[in-house]
Amino acid sequence: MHLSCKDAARLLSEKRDRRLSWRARITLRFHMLMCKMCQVYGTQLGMVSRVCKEAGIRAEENCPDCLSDEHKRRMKDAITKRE
Amino acid sequence: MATDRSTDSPDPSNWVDEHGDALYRFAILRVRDSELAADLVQDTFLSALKGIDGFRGGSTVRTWLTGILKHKIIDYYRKNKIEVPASDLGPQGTDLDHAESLAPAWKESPSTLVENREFWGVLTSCLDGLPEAHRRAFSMREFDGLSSEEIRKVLEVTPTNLWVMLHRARTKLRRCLETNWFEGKNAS
Repeated sequence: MHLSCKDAARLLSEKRDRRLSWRARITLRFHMLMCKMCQVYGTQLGMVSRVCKEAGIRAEENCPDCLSDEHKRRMKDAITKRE
Repeated sequence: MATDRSTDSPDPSNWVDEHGDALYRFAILRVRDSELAADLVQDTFLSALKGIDGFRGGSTVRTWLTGILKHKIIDYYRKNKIEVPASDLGPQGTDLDHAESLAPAWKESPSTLVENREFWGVLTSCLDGLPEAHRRAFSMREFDGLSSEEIRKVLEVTPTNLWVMLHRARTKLRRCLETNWFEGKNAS
């Protein structure tokens, strides 16, 4: 039943992408009961996901980057040619 | 352009000014290369122009264009495969160093964070630190919420390799955000 923190970290990531085996779930839960660090780590991985989901959705309004004037001009030309 | 359309009809002559920056931001977050992002946005406009009669007033022009761009990015990954170096897939001793240091909690909410320009700077430079293949997998999984199965088909990797790539990416990004954002914030 023993699980190292390294393996726990791997399982904490994998459980975000697939259903873990019954055995892996139990072992991970047991480890998490005793390991404060892995609890924090698991919470932070959740936070990474939530922040990135939000960033993915709101990049169009919030990301500070912009198209250069040169790129815009090229695009306008390309569109005019095809219209 | 003689087709009769609803009042929400897309007018291509305004696309670049109305949607160019927004689409570029969508793309640059994901592909991290300004020339490539601009090319993908331009391709999106040209494809949209070709399929303009397929546009239904039910969605906004922006949503419609973003949908096309999302496909363009995935197509780009499909057509421009990159080899994943074996060293990026094998076991790694430094996968987890949390025993030494973990900031107690990340308090700011995701919605507050993404409204902060400084945070975008940190997030994007952390993304730039990931190996290209890992970043592609991570981006599709976390920014777009694609399933492991969908991502596996795009990248043509085994399930195990994909899980390793995602684990590596999350580990590195978590550490980078902690060091460059959350620790600094807690200390100040």
